[in-house]
Amino acid sequence: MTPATIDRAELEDRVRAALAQRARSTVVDVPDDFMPGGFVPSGAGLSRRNLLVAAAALAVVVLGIAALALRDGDGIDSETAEAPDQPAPGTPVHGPTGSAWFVLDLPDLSAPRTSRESAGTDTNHAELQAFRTDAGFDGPTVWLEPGGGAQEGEGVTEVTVNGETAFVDEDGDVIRLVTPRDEGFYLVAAHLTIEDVVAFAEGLEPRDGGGWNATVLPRGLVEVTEDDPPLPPADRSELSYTGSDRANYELFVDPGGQAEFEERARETVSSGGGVEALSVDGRPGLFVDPGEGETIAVWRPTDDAVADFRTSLDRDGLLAAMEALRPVGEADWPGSADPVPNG
Amino acid sequence: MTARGGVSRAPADPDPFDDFFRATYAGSVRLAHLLTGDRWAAEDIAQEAYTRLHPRYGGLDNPAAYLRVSLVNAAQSFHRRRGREQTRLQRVAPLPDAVDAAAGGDHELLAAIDGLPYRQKAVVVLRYYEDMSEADIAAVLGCRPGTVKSLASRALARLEKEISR
Repeated sequence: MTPATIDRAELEDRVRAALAQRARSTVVDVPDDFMPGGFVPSGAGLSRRNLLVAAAALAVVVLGIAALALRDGDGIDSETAEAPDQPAPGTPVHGPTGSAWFVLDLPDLSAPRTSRESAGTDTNHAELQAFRTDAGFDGPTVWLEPGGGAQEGEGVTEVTVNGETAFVDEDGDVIRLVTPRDEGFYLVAAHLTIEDVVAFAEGLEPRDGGGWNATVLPRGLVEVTEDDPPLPPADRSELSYTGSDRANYELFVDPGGQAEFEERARETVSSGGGVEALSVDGRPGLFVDPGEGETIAVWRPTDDAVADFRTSLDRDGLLAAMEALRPVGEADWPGSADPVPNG
Repeated sequence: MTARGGVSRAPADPDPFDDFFRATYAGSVRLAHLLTGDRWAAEDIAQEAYTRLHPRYGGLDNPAAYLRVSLVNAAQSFHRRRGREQTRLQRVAPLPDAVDAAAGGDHELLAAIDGLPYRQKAVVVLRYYEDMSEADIAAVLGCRPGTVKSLASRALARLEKEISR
């Protein structure tokens, strides 16, 4: 039996109603006055849920102490036992390979706002496919992921892909193409023509196990392999500076391998604008200028970290500021205090 | 009137932030609930946002806009943390949101919205609950209006797929 199709306007109305219903049902007791002392940032305090987690952790600690007592009873000298290989609870956690974090050494910067937290597990990029040539991001690039939908608005045109309607729009070096069918794909390309992209889309064949085989590869595109080894838990970090000229600098470093890098690159490029290859200390990256007052660089400082640097400067300003990025270790990173422990 | 002992006390100056807080707090918790799908996390996120806003309040032209961005960013951080927790608890079946269960809400659709990637969910909430324009959503999320359009389109396609199963 074929599932009933849902009209898009009907779906939008249903979304509005569902969200409004949930909001109406959220009963909130509003305190009479704001008491800063009564509120503690969630990263530093205990929420109701964290209290439950803390209670569970306390139980684990109690059980652990009981287990140690039993081991002592079995003749193990707790004072002379060798230190365990695993870090003890409370041991500071480490960022991606330690030296993958950066600070910005420019004169006249305000003290940075910092954020450091355990990285979440995001599997959204698991089905992302990337295609490039040896020219890297200066050459043609395509990112492909499952999905479908309608594009509407200015600059969007209808094209035909294997006899079916698709929607495409071009913004600077970037072309986006989406198929309306759910089992279709969303495609972001750079340095290709619309004709190239449509030909590429028409050559896609479903691959066993998900994804597509690309049978039409304009200008020598090959699929980028994402053979990432399992990565240990690590922190993500965020630094935000303001210059005396009121320029903004934001630096994000996340743990992740090739797949995370491709996802970050795709998301950045999907904003449209100019796209260039970039090399940071010999590491691959790309520069994107969406043309709306922000410039972005994305690169892989190590095999297990992805960084992006965003400024309110133009291209030359961003590249000059990148010269002032200095890699630092755990102890020198300004967000080292008060970390959120990895679990 | 002079109090006993001859010491008079003027009434304390009302703090304009208190008025702003009382007027907006419930709405902030509701927005955070929609962004996270978690009623209790929503309260924490709202409190964090007000704590961050308070020292800056007097110098802001549009504190409501600042507050909204803080809520959206804090909800994104919650998503990252929860992603890690869900990996650890993946063998545990998810429980329906207690608020939705009590209110008889559209569980299927709300569960599908809760399952969206964060930026797609944020666009859905800001567009269909807050009735914000693409340009305003783009300003909150720090992206281009075209990206908002793309995120919304992909979110609706995914919701359509989820509830058609």
